Amino acid sequence: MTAALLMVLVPAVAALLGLLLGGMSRPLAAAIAVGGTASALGVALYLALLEPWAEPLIGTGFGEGTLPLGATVVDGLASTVALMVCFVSLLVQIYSIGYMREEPRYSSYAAFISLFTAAMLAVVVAGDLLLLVIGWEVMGLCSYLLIGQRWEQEEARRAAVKAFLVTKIGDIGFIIGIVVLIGATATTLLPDAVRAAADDPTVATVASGLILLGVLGKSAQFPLHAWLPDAMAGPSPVSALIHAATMVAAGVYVVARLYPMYLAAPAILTAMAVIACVTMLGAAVIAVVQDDLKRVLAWSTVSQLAYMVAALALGARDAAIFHMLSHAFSKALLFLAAGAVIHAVGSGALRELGGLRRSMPVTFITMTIGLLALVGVFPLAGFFSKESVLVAAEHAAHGDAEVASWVGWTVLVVSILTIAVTAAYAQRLWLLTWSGPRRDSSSGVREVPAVMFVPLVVLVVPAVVFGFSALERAWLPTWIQATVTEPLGTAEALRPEVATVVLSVVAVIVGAGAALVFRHRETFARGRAGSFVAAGFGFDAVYQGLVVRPFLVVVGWVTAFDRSAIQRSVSGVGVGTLRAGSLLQRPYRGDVQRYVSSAVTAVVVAIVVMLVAIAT
Amino acid sequence: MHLSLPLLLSVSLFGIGVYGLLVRRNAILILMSVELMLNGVNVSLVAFDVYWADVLHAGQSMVIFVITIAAAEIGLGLAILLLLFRARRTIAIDEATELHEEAS
Repeated sequence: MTAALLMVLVPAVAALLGLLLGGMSRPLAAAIAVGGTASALGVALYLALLEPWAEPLIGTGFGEGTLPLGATVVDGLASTVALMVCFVSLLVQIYSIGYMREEPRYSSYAAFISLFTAAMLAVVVAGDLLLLVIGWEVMGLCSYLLIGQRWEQEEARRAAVKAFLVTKIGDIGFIIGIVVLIGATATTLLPDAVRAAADDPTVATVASGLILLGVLGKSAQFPLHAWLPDAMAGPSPVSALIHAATMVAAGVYVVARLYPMYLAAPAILTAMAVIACVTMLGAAVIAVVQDDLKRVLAWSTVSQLAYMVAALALGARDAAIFHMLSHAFSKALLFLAAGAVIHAVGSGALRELGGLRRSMPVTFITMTIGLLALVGVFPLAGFFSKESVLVAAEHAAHGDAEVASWVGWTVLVVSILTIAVTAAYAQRLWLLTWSGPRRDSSSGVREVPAVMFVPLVVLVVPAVVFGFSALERAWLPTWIQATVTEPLGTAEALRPEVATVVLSVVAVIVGAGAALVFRHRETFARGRAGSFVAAGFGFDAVYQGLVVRPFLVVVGWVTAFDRSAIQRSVSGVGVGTLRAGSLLQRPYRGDVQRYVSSAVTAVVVAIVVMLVAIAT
Repeated sequence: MHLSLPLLLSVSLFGIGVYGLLVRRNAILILMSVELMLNGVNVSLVAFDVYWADVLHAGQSMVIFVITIAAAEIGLGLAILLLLFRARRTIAIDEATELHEEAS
């Protein structure tokens, strides 16, 4: 067994043990969960120390020949992302010990987080397409289970089903795409399939287009984005792990993993860029008018994921992965801090927060740093990663990418606009939570326990210093090389450029300034236009009309067909058999004398026939 | 003696037995009819044995078997009829219809 497979199996076994034994005591459940994730982190560190970016580690899996299952590939890309996944998962597990202290179903919760970690790692190290699909689907399942953790609440149940169905719509495309890819390339091994598909534009376009549907669902991009804000019904650590740091990043990661195939399909790249632009700006605008702490962060996640998709569309995979990693740290930090606020105050509604600066100093400082990193303020990680996306857009605008230059210009303009809007909602969130007068509900609020604020402090470190790692060519740009699918090129340093820096700094100042100027306007009483925006531009109503209603009508037809045609024909067979049976049963009434007379008659007839036969 | 005489007796006994079996409702009379049929066969067995002058007397030995089995059968049959009578105060066979399966 390879170390990569071990890394997947350890948290999976921890999940199984947690489900079996975790019910006995909370400390045991916590120890299993934290131990499993910590072991996975250890294996991930070991893999990274083998320098897989220079020489990828290939695991052949079980079963030679036509169907090798469980083949793994670990190159720089996989090992770095795995490291991030394990790191964030471990912090979330530790944080959950404090956050979920009152939770009666803690053991299953911790086990599902472990299972989720295993599934994500399976996607990350997958060397064969079937393992990729398995990990992908298990993640969807865990997301459903964890959003529905508090299934006593109607809201949580609805959100869980919604998340499952919406992502599943995309997953249909994903699975068909994988099947097309396997069918066209006649191999399930990921590197071989990608290389073969990259040589055939038709296969590349069809497969990458279909797989893109799944990516849109998992990464919450327009038009399959609507599940993510509702998923905030789940506990905050779940939001931090799944709906900010890892699962939504899985979509981006899969595109990066299959990247040569996407580069061979410029039409799909253009579509991705357009989708990313719509999502980026739209989600950011929606975030400005939300009235719940976690929903602001959720829409912000949708918007930031669009940056990664945009970078992928422009041929800048390194920039996308860089932004994915830096966003994972800052957004996990933000969600855990939001969880701390909710834990302390008992509510995430922004109108009930305010003036918490003195009562929760650690959370205040860490969340502020997280918001600054999200907005992209120098020298935090978000600054460098966002700049790398902008630089990619600028290069594309000058015609240095697979897509047309108008796509580059569009992405560049929309990105800069979105930076301004991002600064505005981050500023508004900060003001409403921390400054201003203390609200009634916040009296007697105390700082959260150490088990919860220590993960926050730990996450501050990468959120602050991670950005510098991209400045040197031999550091991050080399660490995230996908040497399995591409030849080892010369990685380029992801350095900001003056023009985009100036533009984005202006955008941040304009956005934050606007939020500061309008801070005294009551932002909750929004009127019709405002509530239309807050409801995600009425997108749920569109779904209701375009998808749910027609679907229910079709379901009605199917049910009617089932009742009238299938059910009747099945029960018709049974009734018909019974009737025929009773017809045949009629002579056999238990009247022995009639049987005997039949027998005698038969014998007499037989004798007569024989005699006649002999006579003639 | 010509073979046709004992065979005529045999056929008459068997025919009377079949008749009784078919038309009687009284179970004891039915048992008696069955005895008549068996004995009709016995007569023909003995007659053929003599006619062929069989050295091993297979026909006569067969008759011994038939008589034995008939005795056992009558013992069993009368026991069943006795129980039937005790339970129902009747031995008319067309009234014992409990195991009859209703046609659906």
